[in-house]
Amino acid sequence: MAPSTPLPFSIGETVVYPNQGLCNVTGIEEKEVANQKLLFIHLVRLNNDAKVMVPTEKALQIGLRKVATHAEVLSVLEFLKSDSDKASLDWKTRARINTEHMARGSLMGLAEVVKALQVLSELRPLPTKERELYNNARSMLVEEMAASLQMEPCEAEDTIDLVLFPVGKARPRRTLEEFQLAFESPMDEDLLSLDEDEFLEKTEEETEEQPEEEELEESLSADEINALKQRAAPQKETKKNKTKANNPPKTSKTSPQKNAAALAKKTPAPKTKKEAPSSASKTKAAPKTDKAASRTSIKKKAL
Amino acid sequence: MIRIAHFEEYEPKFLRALQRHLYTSFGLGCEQAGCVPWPLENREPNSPVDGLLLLNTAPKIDGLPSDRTLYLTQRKLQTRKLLTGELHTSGLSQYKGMRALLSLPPHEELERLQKQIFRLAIAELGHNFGLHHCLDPRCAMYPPWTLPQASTEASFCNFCRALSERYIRR
Repeated sequence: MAPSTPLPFSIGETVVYPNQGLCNVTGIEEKEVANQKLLFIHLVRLNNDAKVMVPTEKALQIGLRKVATHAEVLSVLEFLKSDSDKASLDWKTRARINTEHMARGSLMGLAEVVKALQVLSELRPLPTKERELYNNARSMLVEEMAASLQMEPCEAEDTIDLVLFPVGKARPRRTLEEFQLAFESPMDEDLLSLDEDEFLEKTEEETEEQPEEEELEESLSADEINALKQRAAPQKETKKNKTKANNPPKTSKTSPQKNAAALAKKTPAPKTKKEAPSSASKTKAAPKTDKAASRTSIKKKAL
Repeated sequence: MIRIAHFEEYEPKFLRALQRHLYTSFGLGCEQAGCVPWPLENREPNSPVDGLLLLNTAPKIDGLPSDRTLYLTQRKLQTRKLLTGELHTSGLSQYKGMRALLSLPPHEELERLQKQIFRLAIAELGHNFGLHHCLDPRCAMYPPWTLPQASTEASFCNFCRALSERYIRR
């Protein structure tokens, strides 16, 4: 079956498959899939000889393209030389941008990922996931550059690295100000040092700190607790009255208000960060001192 | 398996130390393949040679198809003219290939520069196994032309070690 539009690739040609790397076009074959006759391009990955079949209609849609030209490689090298690109300091934004670049698979996109992570690594060491991403992007960039310039991959890598790691110079050390200038709102210092995993750990720690009353009860003796309860009883009643006046009684168990309240309880970490934008050690130390002070005052009252 | 072949004679002590270091760095067996004949027409000892040509024409060492060979020479390698500048070359390797080449200093300096030589050998063989240059200045895969390497260790960083193990076991 002849394709409706002329194929942009010929058999034997080397093409670039986004996020996979270089592939060789080994053939074009017609196959019947779900009672439809489709033309498939047969590809073989140069990295590991994996075979891939892509419908011709979707080849361009998924970003299958020819190897970059000499001029494109030169423009990429110019870009790598420049000192303009700064990665976002927010890991979520950074991950989204980098994933988009990798999925699109253009040579300039790969160079942007490499450059951004390279510059970021001059501020602080990259977490493992980003090291892997950097390594993948660099690998694909080197392979395509070597194929485009028809040189050995080790030479292509040295060509890139001569720009990224200048001869005889130690790598520059970046400052936060350089990165913050690129963004409108400077980020909290706590967040700058956080990776995805650390952030999750930290939020878990903070949620664990919440049940103060239970801890307090454990630290007091039974008599002290009874005395405290008796004293606290009238206060609780007044509090209840106040809350009833402010919030009308809930009609059903699955009301949206309850869900919102539950959600608010589950995610207390960002609130505490916004309220007290100080260093991590300060935010952690503050509740402990409050706890200790409240414990001593309660004990004194009970005695 | 890693095999060490050399175009000139070296002290057995130095070769044994290199062999031991490569064995501990890669976790792979390492053997000496002995002295091999010079493959190029250029036999003048002081003239620099084309590293890529030497790498590709070096005699094949008998062994398994998966064996990597590290060739040692005391000839200087030609400075490479790349698109982004000139680069003094002390080692070359076939990326994800089977051969690596290392240009060594004169015999008198082998002991003094042993650490740097081992570091370069690891880097070139690392390229053989598919590793790229690393961001960590303490890692052996860090580009060798950037800073004096005397202060750095001839070993992988954690990331490159894990990656090399993955590539080797693949």
